[in-house]
Amino acid sequence: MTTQLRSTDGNESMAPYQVRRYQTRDIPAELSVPAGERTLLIEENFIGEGGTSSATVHVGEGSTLVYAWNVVSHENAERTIALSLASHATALFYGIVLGRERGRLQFHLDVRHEAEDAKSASVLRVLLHDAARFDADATLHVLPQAHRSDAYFESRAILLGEHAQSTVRPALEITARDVIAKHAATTGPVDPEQLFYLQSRGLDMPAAQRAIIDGFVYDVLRKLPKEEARTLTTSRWDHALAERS
Amino acid sequence: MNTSDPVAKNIPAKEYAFGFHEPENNFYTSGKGLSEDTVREISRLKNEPDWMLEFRLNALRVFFQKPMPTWGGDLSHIDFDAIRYFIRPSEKQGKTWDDVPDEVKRTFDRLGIPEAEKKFLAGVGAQYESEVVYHSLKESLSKQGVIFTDMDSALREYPDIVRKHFGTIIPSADNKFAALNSAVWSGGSFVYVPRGVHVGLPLQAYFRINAKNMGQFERTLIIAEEGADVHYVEGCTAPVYAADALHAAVVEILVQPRATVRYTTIQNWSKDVYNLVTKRAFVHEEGTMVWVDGNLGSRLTMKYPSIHLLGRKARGEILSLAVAGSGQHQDAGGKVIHSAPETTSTVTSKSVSREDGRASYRGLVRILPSAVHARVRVQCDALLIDDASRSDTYPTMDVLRPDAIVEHEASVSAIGDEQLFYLQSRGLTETLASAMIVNGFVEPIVKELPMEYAVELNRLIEMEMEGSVG
Repeated sequence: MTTQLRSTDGNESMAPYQVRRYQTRDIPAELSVPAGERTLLIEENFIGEGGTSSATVHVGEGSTLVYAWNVVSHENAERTIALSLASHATALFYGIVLGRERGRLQFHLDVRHEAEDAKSASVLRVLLHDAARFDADATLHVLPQAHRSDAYFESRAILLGEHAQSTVRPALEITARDVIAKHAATTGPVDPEQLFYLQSRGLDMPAAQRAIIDGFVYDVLRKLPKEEARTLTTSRWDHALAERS
Repeated sequence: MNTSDPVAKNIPAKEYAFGFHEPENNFYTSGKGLSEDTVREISRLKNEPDWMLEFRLNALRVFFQKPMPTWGGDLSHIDFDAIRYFIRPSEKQGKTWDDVPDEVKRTFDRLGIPEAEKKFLAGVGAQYESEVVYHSLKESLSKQGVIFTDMDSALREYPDIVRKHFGTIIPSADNKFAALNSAVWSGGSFVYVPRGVHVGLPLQAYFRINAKNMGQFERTLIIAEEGADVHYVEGCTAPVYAADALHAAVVEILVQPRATVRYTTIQNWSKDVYNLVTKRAFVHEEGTMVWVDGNLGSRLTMKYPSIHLLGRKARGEILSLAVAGSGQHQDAGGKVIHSAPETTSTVTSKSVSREDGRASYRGLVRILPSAVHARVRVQCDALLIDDASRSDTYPTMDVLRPDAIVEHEASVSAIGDEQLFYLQSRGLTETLASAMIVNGFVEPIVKELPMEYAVELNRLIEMEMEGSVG
């Protein structure tokens, strides 16, 4: 489905976002964001389908891609996403993963800065229940000609299940000097200090945990640029998280 | 003399001034290449017990079976057939000061290396004249029951302790180069610190070394009994002019409950050396292990000091510094495996790449299911000086427990233009300003070094930056 909706970021002079929403099984293996355009790509797998799939997105000169990847995992699956950025391109990747039961999700992210003045920010939020397992490698490549690149990757995982496991391998391969490249990764339980704070304000433990998890997820969802798309995706996550709370 | 077969000569036994004894028969001129015969001959000349010969031969078989690693640096130019696997100390003389490259001599001058040290480092002197200093140090150590000797002597004089621990922390089959070391090891240090003993001064392999110890295949074993405390230092910032192309050392460290071991390395091998080292420590309850690992030289270094936290509340710390200049690849980092409850670790890595140098951080943090409430923090920062410089970061965080807290962050950047401008506006040249910024960047690691190393390292960085700027 492709819908033209007006941008909600207040900048009416820029091209409006084109919204493309796909189920994982339907997403094309190769996509492009034409030069100068802005695309919000929403990929969903709320039913937890397994299997192996991959997608490559070419982000054209001066264009913007916002890629929202939404996954509920309870079967074994492997997903590869590759983003290549032309000059002055911007790629923002927001991934939310909810792992359940014994689902094992292998995720490979490859972000390649191929030309100057491109910017990328990739953010992952992972919640693992039961004996779910998340295994991710994410590589940021900055090629020699990609001057003034700004590349960032962040992964935050909360392990909720007693047998949940997470392996993350964020890598940087930087061959241009005048760039900024960073990554960060954290894995742990729900912060006990945050839990205590909320309980001291009258919430019981389940409600406190749910509030923290909601904040953990919605912190990413609120970054989606289209109000209608954001609302729809948020409601789907409301439902998915409620099933597990 | 280059021959494909070993040639043995009989020479009279002679006695070193400070008590070293040569075996009664033969010196060994090693031909090139590795075979079972070579290993048997090494063991025979060292008068080793049968178990060590068997250990070596098993390791040799593992070495031949294991493939070369396909990750990390480029190992394709190593010619195992061209390496001499055992050279007696008396053979290492014969080089003159005139043979030492001018670049090496200039570096010695700039770093303020004393005359006697220069010749030793350049391989011209077979024995460092600080033997007198070492001798008095050895007396005070022995009063505490501390053993600090070379590995060959330890095998002869303390066979029970050595046999109990040798190869238990890094078995021969660990990796191909550990297998090679296990087959042909020679030299290295043995340190034993009894229960409750605190060794006040750092034990410096530098003092202990003569050419006998400083070799391609050093094997070091350090045992700190319960409550012991020791700091071991090896290497130096000055370039070590090595004729050997391959340095494949193994370091095993056992930290018993409530003991503390700090192991500091500064390596600055000449730029034709492959530096492939396996280092690992086992840390028991409430013990502490600290690796301070500085890599400045060599053509390729692949070294990942590791810590296994096996006891409750054991602690590990890895401080890694890598400086990659022209034609160099520093592939360094560290590994921490948490196996016990309430264990903690931190890894701090700083790397600098200049000219076409490549610095790679490669690390592993693994939290096993038994590591209840483990906590880890990793921080890697990289600085790129020139357009052709390269930096890589390859960390792995493997968390198999839901209550572990693991944090990792990394950044790569160039020297900030604003920082340079600020310093230059205060009257510093661009070279000095760049050197100051780089020294500030590596300060968290350098401040952990013994003072004389820190001073030399800062000078070395200034010299390196002179070549980069302008």
